[in-house]
Amino acid sequence: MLRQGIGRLVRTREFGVVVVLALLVLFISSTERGEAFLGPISLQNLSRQVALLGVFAIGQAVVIIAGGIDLSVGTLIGFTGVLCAWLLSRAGWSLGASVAAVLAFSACVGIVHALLIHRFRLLPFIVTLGSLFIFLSAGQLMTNNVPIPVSPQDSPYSEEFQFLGNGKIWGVPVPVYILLAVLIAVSVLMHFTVVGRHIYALGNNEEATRLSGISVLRTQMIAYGLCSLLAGLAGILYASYQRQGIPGSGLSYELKAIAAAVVSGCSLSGGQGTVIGAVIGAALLNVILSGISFVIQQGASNWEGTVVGTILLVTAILNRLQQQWLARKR
Amino acid sequence: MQRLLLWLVVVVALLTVGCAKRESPTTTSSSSGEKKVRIVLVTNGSSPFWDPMEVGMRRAAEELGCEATSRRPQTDSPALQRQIIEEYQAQRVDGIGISVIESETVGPLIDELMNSGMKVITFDSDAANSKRIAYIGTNNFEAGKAAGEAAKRLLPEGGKVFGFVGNQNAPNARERIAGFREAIKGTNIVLVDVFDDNKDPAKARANVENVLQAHKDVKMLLGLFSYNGPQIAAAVKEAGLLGKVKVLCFDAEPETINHLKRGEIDATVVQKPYEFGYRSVQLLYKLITLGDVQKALQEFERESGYKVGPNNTIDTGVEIITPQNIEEYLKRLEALGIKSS
Repeated sequence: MLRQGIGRLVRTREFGVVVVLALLVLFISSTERGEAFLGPISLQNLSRQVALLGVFAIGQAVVIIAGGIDLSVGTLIGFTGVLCAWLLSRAGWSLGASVAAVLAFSACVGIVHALLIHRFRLLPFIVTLGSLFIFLSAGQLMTNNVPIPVSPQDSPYSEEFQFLGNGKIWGVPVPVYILLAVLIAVSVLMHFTVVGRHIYALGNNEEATRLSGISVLRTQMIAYGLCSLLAGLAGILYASYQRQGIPGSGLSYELKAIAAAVVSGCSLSGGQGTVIGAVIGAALLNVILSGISFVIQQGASNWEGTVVGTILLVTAILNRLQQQWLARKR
Repeated sequence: MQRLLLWLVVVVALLTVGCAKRESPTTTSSSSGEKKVRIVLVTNGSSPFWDPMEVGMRRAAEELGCEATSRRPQTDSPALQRQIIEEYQAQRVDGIGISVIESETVGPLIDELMNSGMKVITFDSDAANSKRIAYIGTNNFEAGKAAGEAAKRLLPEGGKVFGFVGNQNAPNARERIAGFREAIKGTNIVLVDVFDDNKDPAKARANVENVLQAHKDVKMLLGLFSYNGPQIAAAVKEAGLLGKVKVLCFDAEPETINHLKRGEIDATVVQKPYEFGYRSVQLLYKLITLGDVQKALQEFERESGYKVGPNNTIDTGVEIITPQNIEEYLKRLEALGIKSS
């Protein structure tokens, strides 16, 4: 039973990433400042970064599994952050109303993406690339490129607002709870509901899905709507974490989300991967990024790209070797 | 496999197209006369940093009775800036001031403009090897030194300092860091390392959080780009280290001003963008109307009170703003018609 369980675990696509992640943590904690890396505050900071990235990497994973891609999540995060700060500080809305409005807006963005992709037979990347530029510019237009602070003199809700990104409950950052809730909800959706099966089916073979009477449009609306909704949620959390809405923030985060989803097994041709894999991928990326400042004493920033790129490639190679080994065993 | 390749192409395209172009012109012209002197100032991006520059530009244009326009390229793409300058070359304006994004790209164009009889100066960011007549702006090495002097006042005992910046290889960052190192020479202050964030504010904050955990003995954090200050202050506050770790930064974003008012940032080094605009128009106008470079520079020196340094560089200087003088500083800006820079 136990052996079977372990065997199944080893066979999963996420296993290689977990191994690399574990080795990395071991390595970092064995270095001179390793003790501080595993200290409570460092773990709080790290888990918050993982949660912030994980929330929208989950959305990206859903879209990738459905055979698409969403390039707009990065600038949508920037724009929704600005929108949320604007509603709170400039329009004087309550926290609940602002958050609800931003989330509703974000979900609509994804639904519009799905409609455009479906109605005009456009490629997802063209549609979402268009949005990428629009949201970048919209945030700049809305603010004249000056960040909008949410401090106590701007909004009576500033303390509650900043709690979402900065607060802790029982020593654990609030975004971590939000990530867990999102992860559980989306995992249930993907693995235990008809909608989830449709999303996987759509990614595997769109034509077959259509022929079997499944509404492709409805499935795409759910996948893209969920992805944009989660980007909007991440936008609120990032703005809260920064205590301001910053135009132009979130730029190129879509690449981080794609990397997090793909490194642990989401196939860019669709139909494969899991959302928990995206969270593990997010953890790997952030452990590397924080680890660098603990391990490298001088010129850490110049090493960053080399380290991140190498570890991503090594992980991808391990993944591939594992799959080949399993295929041969079968 | 094909799809995979397709996505790869997309990602690459995305990075390339990331430098797409849009720009926004602002024109001011005074009322009287025909065939007015036409001056254009081209910035290096669309940042609100340029708002006070435009206020100064308009003021000078009104006073001198010339026409002055500013153009802000929407991105920091050298190719886009070159294209914008070429538009004004075609329009044959009388004088042009440029905050140079990339001197290799724009330098040869400046020489071409000068050869065609146009008056060209640089402001904020120089192309020192081109034929531009003069440069007006912050001497970033001196600004770094001013930051270093402020650090000495804040840390009389010395201690470890970490720096945070968008890209430490950018010329202004490099000069600020070099100036800072120069000023702290011979003291117990050590600038241990500088972290890049590629202008991603969340990464800027995460960098600070990591340093605060990895180096418990850090005494001061130095933010070298305008958005670094608020990120540092937020991280220090969150870690409960306000007062224990000093915060020194550059420029005065809205959140920086808020933190200064609350005493959560100890000092910020501010530049004088209003002066960039005002003095660029003033100098270009003199160069165009007098026709003689030496005479124009002499008159400029006499009227502005600035010294023209070697290679015709004019340093407009910096100010150190602290929680003690922030209110007075804001009042002065308001009097000039500027909200905050």
